[in-house]
Parts: sequence; structure tokens; C-alpha cells
Amino acid sequence: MDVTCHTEGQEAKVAIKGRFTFQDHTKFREMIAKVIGADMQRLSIDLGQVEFIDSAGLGMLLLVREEMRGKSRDVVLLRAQGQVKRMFDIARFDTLFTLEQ
Amino acid sequence: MPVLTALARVRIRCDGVDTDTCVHFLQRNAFETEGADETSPVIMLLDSPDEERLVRALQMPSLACVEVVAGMPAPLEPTVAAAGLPILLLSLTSATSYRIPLSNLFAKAVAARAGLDAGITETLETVLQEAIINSLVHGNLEVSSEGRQTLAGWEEVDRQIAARLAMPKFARRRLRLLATWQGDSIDVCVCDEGGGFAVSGVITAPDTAMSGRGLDIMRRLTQTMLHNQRGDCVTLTISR
Repeated sequence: MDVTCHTEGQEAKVAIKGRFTFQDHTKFREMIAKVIGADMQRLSIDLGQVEFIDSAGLGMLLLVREEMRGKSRDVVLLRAQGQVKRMFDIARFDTLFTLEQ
Repeated sequence: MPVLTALARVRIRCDGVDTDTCVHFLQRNAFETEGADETSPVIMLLDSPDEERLVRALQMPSLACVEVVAGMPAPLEPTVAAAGLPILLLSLTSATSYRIPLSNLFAKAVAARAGLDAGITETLETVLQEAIINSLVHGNLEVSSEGRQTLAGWEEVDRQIAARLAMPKFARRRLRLLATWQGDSIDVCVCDEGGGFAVSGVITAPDTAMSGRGLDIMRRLTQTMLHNQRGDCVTLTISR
């Protein structure tokens, strides 16, 4: 997994590339801790280059949602496709997140 | 793990494994190599494989890849195919299993042999990933997922896993994947060497749960999901 982050005003934009799994999540966790600590108004997570996600990856996204909701901040998931989109459908993420393409 | 009839003749390939260990493995598992020819299936023995070596080992015509550990007794692998029944067996230590994208490698290897399309292969990889993590983390490494409700909890879980993987008692416990296919379905059996668990005690996770969703995903994507009584093996059946 590779994770990058840049900010635009009060929005943090995190992009993930590769596999997002139980064994391969540490970079995301570390990046998210920094973003939450920076207290941005909005967080967007670009999943366009994530090739595979498991239930641990889904759980980590939900954890981010909880952390941001606790501060009344927005989280948007971008460009989920392929296996990731199908996992989002199974997990009914459209009822829990704003999903954008 | 189901016990099937032993093969009559096999070829053994040893990658980074000394001759004595190879011979011991053959003797312990009562495999026969005399009379094997180029059509006989191959059993690969490997020592601490990385991803690249495992990809090579899983290429056809191998039907089993077994990791052997230097200085340890050869593993007993009672699960081999009856003649004519296609299988793929992978037997690895927890340490090796955790550090490679095992669900991806195994799903692709099964797909190549069984002629699966991309959609079925993706389903296979998805359910394998959940079963493998359950077996590895909760079974072999005996690490609970209860702490994964906060970032700090995740950090602690990761720390526990790293500590267990550094202990030979846990790191050498085996994870076994066995795939068989015929007709319109594929069966994959995932087994660990942990203490087992009570499947009936697992409650379906709600939508917002940050952990515990793996069993639900497996149920949704498989025709059947069956645990053995001890809870250290799960057999998943997927439609082709």
C-alpha cells in the first residue's frame, strides 16, 4: 500500500494505492492519525487505485468516519471501482458515506 | 481437513530444501516417486518462500506446495488427491502466510487450473482473504480483534501480531489451503493449528461495526460455509 496526502484549504485529500487489507494498512492508519490530529473540515479518500479491500479495510474506513463525525467533519470516499465497489455494495456503504466518482 | 486417497506416483521438487529433508518428507507422508513420469503431478517443497518463489512454485503442474522449516520435523500432509480429482494444496507457516498476499496468489493459481473467469476469481480471493485472516490472526496467532475500535486499538493489535510472529511457537503454526473443483462449484478448505472457536457464538456484525464483518462477507459470497466441530477449519463452496 502507498498513501499520499495533500491539503487544499480546509480539506485533506488522501489517496491510497494498492491493497487495503488487514496485513497492509499501517501507512493508512498512520496517515489518518495525522489528518485527524490536524482537524481539517473535510476529508476525501481517493480509492481509485485500490485494487483490493477486505473487511479490515472496510472497518478502518468506518473508524475514520466515527472519528470525523465526532468532530462534525465530513468524509467522502472517491472513485471506488471493481472489487472495492462490490465490497462497498455488500457493506451498504452508500448508506454510511458520501460516495463520489 | 478431509483425508483423501494417497496418490500413487508423484514428482518432488525441492527449492532451497536439502536432500535429507526432502527424503524425510517423502517417507513421513508415504509418497511414492518410483515410476513417476512427466505426467505425474508435482509436489513443491520450499524453505521460507517469498512472494516471487511462491508464484513460481504454484505454477502448473504442481498440485501441492509445502513449506518446510529447517531443523523441524517434516510436516504431515495427509490431504492429497485421489487419481483424477483436481486439487491444489498450500501448506505454509503463519510467518510466511502473513507477509505475502496469499489470497491473491492462491486464487489466481486455482483460477488458472480450474479455468475460472475474472468475476469468480475475485469472489474466491475475497472470501479466501477473510478466511485466511481469521485462521491466521485469531486461530494461529491467538490475537483478538476486539481492540479494533480506535486507531490506538489497531496499533495495539498490530503490536500483538508482530510479537506473536516473532515467537516460533506461533510463527511456525501452519495454515493450510486446499482447493478442489468439479462440476459447477469450487470448494476451498482453510485450516489452522490454533485452539479452534465456537462458531455459534459469533454474532453477525451490524453495518457500522468496525470489526467482525468477515464471516458475514463469506456467508454472502458463498453457496455454503461450513466449519468443522473444533472451529479450526472452514470449507467454502463457490459457484463457478
